[in-house]
Amino acid sequence: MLLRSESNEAEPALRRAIELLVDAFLLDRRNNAGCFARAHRLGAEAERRFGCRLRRDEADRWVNECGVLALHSRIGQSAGGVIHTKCSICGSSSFGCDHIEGETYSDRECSHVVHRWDVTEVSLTPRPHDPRCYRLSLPRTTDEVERELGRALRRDETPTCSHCASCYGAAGPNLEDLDPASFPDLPIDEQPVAPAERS
Amino acid sequence: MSIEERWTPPVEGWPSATELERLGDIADLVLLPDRVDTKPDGLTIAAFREDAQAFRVDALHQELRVELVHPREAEVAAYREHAAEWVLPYILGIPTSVVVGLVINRLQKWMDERGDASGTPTVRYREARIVEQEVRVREIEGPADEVVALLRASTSEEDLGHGGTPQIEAES
Repeated sequence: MLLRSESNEAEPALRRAIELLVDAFLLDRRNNAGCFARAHRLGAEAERRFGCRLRRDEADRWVNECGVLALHSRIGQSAGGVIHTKCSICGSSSFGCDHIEGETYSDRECSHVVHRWDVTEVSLTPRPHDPRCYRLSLPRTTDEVERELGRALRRDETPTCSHCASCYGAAGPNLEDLDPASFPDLPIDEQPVAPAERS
Repeated sequence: MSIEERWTPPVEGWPSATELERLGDIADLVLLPDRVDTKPDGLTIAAFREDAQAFRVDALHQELRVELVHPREAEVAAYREHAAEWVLPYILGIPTSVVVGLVINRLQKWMDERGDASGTPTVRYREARIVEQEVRVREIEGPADEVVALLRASTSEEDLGHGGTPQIEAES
């Protein structure tokens, strides 16, 4: 229904669905392998119907924050540091009670809610603590976009992404996508990025 | 990836070897912090691996004596690192078979919960030992299933009277 709808809500809903599929894959690649292909197919549909325009950031660079790109990312950007938590069961501070995060007490699952985080490092790692950190936005200058297009951008032209239309992803993940840390690291500038639309 | 063993210096801010020996005598499981930092305002924070809570509670349920070592004036917090490998909290001394059993059970539980998602995780197991009146840390790192097997073997040797020291051959 959503794919056939002409409603104004169709595009935002479609893109939300893509992001949910991406998160599901990143959180459990093997068991949610089907989400890889589905995200690509929805991405292709979004591109066909609405176009996937890049956005300008504060530094006047072009960014593409679509989650589909994270499906191919082999490096995550992950923060580390000291966290201060409160237990969701009893409110105790870190190590102040006997509740273990993830376990259930009287039908309530315990979580240790972070209320303060003293970040001491941000690292690029093939195995980030939070797998959603594979989402990386790699900004590109207009010059870089134009080099990839093979021509200058027209006045007021916004470059678009055509990744999903040409990617193998619609057929499903390969071995590298299912376990990126098991394959050799790629330098950061060789990380997959969205191609701008070619003329 | 094969199992690696290495020796590293202690964390700055840990008690002396003498004090750690004393603690090792009074507690069955002694957990040490990953970081001890003093902020500019004078507040000291001792941060333990988040998973130290699970080991602590498991030990308490087995009626073991547990000590979370930190400076008396320090605030206790958790330390979360960027990588997804399982870095276990520092344990003091060569743990008894009971304590090693706790570690193995907890690791096995995590492995079972994780299933086969994203491949076999890497585990870093760390022991703080007193060697010639100095504190040194022995780290064993490798695939989770292999580390579990190594720890099981170490407890079997202990049961057979061969001592509690796991024998590892580092592969080049």
